[in-house]
Amino acid sequence: MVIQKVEIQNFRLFYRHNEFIFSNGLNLIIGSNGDGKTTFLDALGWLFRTDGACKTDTNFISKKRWEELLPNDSDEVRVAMTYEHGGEQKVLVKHFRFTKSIVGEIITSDYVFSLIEDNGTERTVKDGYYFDKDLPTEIRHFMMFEGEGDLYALQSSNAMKILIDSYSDVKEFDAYYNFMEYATKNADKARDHALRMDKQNADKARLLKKTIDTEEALLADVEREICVKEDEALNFESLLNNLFEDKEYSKFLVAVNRRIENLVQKRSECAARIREDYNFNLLSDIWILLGFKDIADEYSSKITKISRERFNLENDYLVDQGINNAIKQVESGVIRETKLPAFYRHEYIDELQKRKYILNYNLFEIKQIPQKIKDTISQNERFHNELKKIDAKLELEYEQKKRLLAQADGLSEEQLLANYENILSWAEKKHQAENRIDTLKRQREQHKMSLEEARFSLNKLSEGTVAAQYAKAALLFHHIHDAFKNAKEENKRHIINIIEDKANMFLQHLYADDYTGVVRMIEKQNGQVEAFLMDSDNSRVFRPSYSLNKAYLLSVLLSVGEVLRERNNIEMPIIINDSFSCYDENNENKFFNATNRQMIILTSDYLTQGNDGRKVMDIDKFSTISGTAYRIEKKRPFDNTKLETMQTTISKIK
Amino acid sequence: MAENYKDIEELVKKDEKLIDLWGRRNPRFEKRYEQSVIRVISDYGVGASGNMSAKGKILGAGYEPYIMAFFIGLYSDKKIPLSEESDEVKGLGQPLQYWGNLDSKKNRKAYPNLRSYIFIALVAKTEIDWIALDKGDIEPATVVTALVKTMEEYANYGFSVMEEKLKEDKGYFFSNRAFLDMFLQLTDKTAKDIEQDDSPESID
Repeated sequence: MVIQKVEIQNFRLFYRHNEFIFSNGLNLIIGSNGDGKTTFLDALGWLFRTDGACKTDTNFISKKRWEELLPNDSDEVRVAMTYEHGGEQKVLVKHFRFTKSIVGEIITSDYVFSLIEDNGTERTVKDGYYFDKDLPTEIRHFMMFEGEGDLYALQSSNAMKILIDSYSDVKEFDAYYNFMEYATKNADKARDHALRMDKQNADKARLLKKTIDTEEALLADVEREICVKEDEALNFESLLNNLFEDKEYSKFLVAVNRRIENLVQKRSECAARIREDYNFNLLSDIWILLGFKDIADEYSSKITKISRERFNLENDYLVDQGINNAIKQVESGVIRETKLPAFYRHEYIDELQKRKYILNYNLFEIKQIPQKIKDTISQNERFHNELKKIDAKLELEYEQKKRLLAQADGLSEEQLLANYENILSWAEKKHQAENRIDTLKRQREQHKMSLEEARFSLNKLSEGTVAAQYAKAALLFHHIHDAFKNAKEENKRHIINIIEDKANMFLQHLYADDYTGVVRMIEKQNGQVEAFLMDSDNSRVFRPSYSLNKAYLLSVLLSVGEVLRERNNIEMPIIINDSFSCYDENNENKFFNATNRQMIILTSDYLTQGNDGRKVMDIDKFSTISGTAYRIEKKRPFDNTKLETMQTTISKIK
Repeated sequence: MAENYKDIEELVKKDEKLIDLWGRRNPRFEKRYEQSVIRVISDYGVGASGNMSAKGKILGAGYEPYIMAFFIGLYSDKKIPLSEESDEVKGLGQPLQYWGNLDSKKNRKAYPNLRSYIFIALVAKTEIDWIALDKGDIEPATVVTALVKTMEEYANYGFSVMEEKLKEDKGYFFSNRAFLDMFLQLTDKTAKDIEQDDSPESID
């Protein structure tokens, strides 16, 4: 199929009639974000829908066109594709009318979906659902892609399974396989019936039949559980391998957290040792006496002087009084002891003197106060410095933690720490699943053997009887059934291998100058077929670079297209809305030249920032491209708050 | 550290000591400093200094700023007489004998011994005829009055300094080093100026 022309009318940003003429080869539609690339793809997506959904979705109507309509006026939303297929030119068209009512409501009508075939001599109009014959739904999954999200989605969908089932020789076997299933069942029934008629062996036959039924049921259970466990083991392996790099991050994170915890504790202990309540020290520790030495000396001198003076005065008084008394006594001739009146009434000086003694005793401690102050201040400064060092170390650790988390592929700290815990648990669960699979496989063999033995015994039982022929026929049918089953599986594997080989071929072409790994297509138990990138030692490459990841998925895509073309004569274009900027120019061209199928690439590559801030064509880069090219962009001026002012303009640039 | 000092009071006779007479006095200050200084940096007028931290005040009871002011004046060796207008001065409200007795309130220790050193400083700095006192020619109350006057005048100078500081910077004394740095500056003591004297002075 080769798309020749696409017409889009009044479909969202495509105001009124717009037309793209495509060549058989590379076609580029270049536009910036919001210019209409996705709208183009959506228009085609709507056109291709043959399931009857979204027929007259009013969201498709161009806002600008709608605003222009007067009451009772109408226009059409129309998308049409002219293409060549099997030597015939065809037009697939879908349109509906929209009318603005008097009250401004949208009324849709006249929905048409047609396929117009023109073989040169005759023009036929068919229902659009006939388009499925030219481009079946299973194949459309491998034709149109909106960014790499669709590429990834392909992996987890049944698309590949359906494609293989539909377009490989596998389906040829379905009829034979289904018939053999039917024949085997009926042969068994006939044999069983004949055995029941054989009264001599009826009981034994019944027992053997029961054994066969039991073993078949057990075998089915075992097969089911093997499927489940294999999926489980695969999942845990994926989880563990995804964690492989994260494991290192997790380990580092645990170590960093431990160091941070230790530093925080050390900081807390250091901060607690800082004692800077100097007002407390001034009073409670009487640091306020730091300048008291001079005053103490002054006091001591003063009191010493006063005490001496006091003593001398008293002494002089006593001496004078004594002499006077002695003279009087001598004169009177009477010698007697006389009590002298006290010279002093109080002993406050004595109090002060005693206070001086204690002061002197304490003076040494008082003189030490300035040094004590200095030592305390120094000690606090040391603790502050230590605190600064700890803070610096903490900052480094926090920075490292931040870097670690930034590199950890968007995993949060909680996830990384949980991962660290999970690794052990998942490894154990994977191991348990694998052990269980081994056990189940042994059981499967035993059940198969038991089943074979029971069938053999049943057939042997019928020897020499009427049932013998039925038994032989049943056994034969079983073998043929198994043969077809094996053939079906082998055929499926064969087609998968072909896709795999071609994918590797494309990958080597797209990524020739760098490490690529090897594409492996693996069929999962649920029938889905998934492509993995593996290393040469058969270990999965879980974190390929962005560009390699995209390259291998695109290789699978191209491979499927090639296989369909070669084996089923189905030619289909590739329509991709994505950026190839992750590739250098060389690899980008390699993709464009990888196949001679028609390609329609919608991209914002080849645009660069102009002097006025708007996006303009990068002429140098663009000049290397050969093929058809269109530039789409919003017509200016427009109001970016009003959709009705916007429309996409198209200009052919190559 | 205060508890390491030999208790001066024990060795003096148990008669009424001069320091006890002095201890019953309630020193005065100029009212203008109540709002501008005392209430700014202490819980003066509020009550238990256990609430000191919660209120964000750096000192507790009102006598603490008074002690700081006294020592500022003492170390500066500067006095300012109190105003002679009686309505411009008021008593602090707590006799000297209770100063420093607060104990175990918000990590504060009592420091009753500081009173003795204040008394010693006042005796050193006040001119008194001690002989006349012992002879009974002057009353002890007169001497105590003189001592308290010296104290009030030193503190008055100290309050004026503190008020100036607060005018320049409202948060000046809220730094935990403000008072310490002020006293260090006034006494100008550094490690190299300290006499490394290993033994107490002899008693003579």
